[in-house]
Amino acid sequence: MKKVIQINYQNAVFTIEEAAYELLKNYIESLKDYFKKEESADEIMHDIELRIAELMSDAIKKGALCITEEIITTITSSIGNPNDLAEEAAASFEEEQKAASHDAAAEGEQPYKNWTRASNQSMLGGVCAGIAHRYQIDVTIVRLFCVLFLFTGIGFLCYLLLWIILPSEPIPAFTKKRLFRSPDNKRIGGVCAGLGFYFNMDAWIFRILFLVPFILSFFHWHSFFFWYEGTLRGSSVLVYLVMLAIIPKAKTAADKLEMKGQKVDLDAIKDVVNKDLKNIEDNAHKLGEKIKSTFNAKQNKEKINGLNNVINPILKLMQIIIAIGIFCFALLMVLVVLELFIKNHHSQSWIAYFLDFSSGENYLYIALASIVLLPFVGMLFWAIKIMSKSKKPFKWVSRVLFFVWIIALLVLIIEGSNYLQNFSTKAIVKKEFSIQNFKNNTLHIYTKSEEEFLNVGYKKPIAYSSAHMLSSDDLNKFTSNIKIETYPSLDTAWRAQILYCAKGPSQHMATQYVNELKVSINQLDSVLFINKYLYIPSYQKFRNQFCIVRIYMPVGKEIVFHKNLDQLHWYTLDLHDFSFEWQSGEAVNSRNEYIELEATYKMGYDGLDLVEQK
Amino acid sequence: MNIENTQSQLKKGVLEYCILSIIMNGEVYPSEIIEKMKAANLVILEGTLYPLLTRLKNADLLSYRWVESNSGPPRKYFSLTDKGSAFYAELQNTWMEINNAVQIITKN
Repeated sequence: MKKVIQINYQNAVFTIEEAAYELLKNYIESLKDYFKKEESADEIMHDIELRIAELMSDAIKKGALCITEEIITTITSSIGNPNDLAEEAAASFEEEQKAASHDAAAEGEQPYKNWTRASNQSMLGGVCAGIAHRYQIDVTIVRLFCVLFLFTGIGFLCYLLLWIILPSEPIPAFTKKRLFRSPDNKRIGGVCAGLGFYFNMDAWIFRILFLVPFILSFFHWHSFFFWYEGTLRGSSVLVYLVMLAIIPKAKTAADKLEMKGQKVDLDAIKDVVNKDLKNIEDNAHKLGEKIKSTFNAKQNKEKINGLNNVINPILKLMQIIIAIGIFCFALLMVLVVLELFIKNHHSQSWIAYFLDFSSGENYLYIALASIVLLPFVGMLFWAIKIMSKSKKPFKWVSRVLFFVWIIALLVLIIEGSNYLQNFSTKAIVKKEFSIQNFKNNTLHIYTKSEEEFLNVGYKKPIAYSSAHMLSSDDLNKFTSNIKIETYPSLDTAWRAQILYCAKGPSQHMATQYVNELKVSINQLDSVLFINKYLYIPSYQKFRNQFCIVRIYMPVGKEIVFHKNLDQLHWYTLDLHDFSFEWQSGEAVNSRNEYIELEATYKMGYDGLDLVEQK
Repeated sequence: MNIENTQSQLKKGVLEYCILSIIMNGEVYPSEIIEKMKAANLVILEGTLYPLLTRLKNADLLSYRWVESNSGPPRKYFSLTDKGSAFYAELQNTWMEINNAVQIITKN
């Protein structure tokens, strides 16, 4: 017993077994699928379906009660199953393929002796493509050299000449490995990735080759990279741009195969396409997972994550741009820190005033350098990690960096506490300076001018400050660590007191240090010159040596501090509360208020008062 | 080397010539072509014939008209165009040459 249904097929009504109907339906679907690549598939299918209808009505006329499975089978075997049709068609297809490959082989054996211009592969006249064909090299390579050559005037003329002379002919496609820009693992334009494929090397080698000259072009000192000269500057960017313009992008599956130097045939193309599809699938899968986890997350997070999925590509691009920025910054900082620390690691540098490189303080210096340097090195690797796809090699890098950093920190703490012992005791020496009587009521205070100081024959600045906060010659170091204080005098005489101060690991050492300090003061009538510098014997290290000049003046007298006093710099390190003071233009009154320069002050009973200018 | 492959290649080569020849002798519809070829022991699937006819028609070698049929749906009756006749004449020449050549070669 079989179920029978009625169908309207091609404007005729047929009684058909349900199983036969299913068979017919499947058969037509399979034919449609088979013919879908044909140019006029609809017309072919229409013809065939008309024929099926005709054959079915024939069967009915011959006395069949309804369309049975056997009838359908007879019809399908007369028209042919897709497999049979494919077999009949395949013979010719294979034949064509063989013919084509034979042609290619025949051409491959041919010597390429003709100089031609390629009429079918030209960018500008086809000269490069013609040369590439003549010598059987990748046209892109010829183009790159051609562009470099074109920058010279002769190259341009040669190109024009070849364009005019050479006959134009179509040439066959180049089938060996070709240089492409790779869109799959690109960072900017895929140039380096493509070079990587062409030379069978890691793309990062080329990225570094382009990046390093580019970053170095921001540097303007030569001591560290003395070999690096101006001509190379920025040229890597130019070369990159030229390559970006000349090298074609690998768009199709065939391009990608040629880029990797694989043979282009149907199977290989299918592999590439499948791989692409799989990537898309994987991405879709990941996206799905993300969305799933988003929905599981809390309400307020949901929106943010959903947004993330939409702007993910933008974020990724930004991430890479930021990573490049961080890379440049970190590289710059590493070089600057290295430069600074290496440059200053000698006995004449200003750092040698603070640290003794011949003792354990050398380790302190190295530890300090490492502590500053390592975070930037870490940053550098982090940026590379962001830009690179493989994360594995970077795992141990961060661990090693962290380990070394901790060791440096320990050294800093141990050596640092030793160093601070140098500041444990303090010694003070006071020296009197008698100020001669002078006619006016007003005393003028100057520091000795720069020129005067030069005339004395000193000055070999070892600090970078224009004020020469620290200088040295063979015998002495000079610091401008001088402070001027004013106090009301108990009698009617002017008087000055110079107070020297230094620290040391013991009272004995501190006293020895302090006794050797010297500031010279001269008086010329109503003008008091205070030497800009405190003299420190050159063997002394920084032990917070400073000097305070106290001026005791009668009440009612006036005093003017002149402009060049601003060259004094007061700095002091106090171990007991770990404070470090730093001030410029040192002159204070007894109330510990700062004094305006070039203004007239009058001494009152409790300190200086500003005299109003008339 | 596959014998079936070679056979179907040989067949394929003469197929268009035979079809055009049948149509040359008068207006026909597809199943008639199949019948005539079957009668000459040259069996092809209708599923191969229809696309071939469509291609020939698209190349302006054939034209067709619809004719109502008593036994079912209307049929496409194909005839040669002028271009088709010229094409057929050329094929005929080629076939003659090949036929001659093959005859001479295979006899010896």
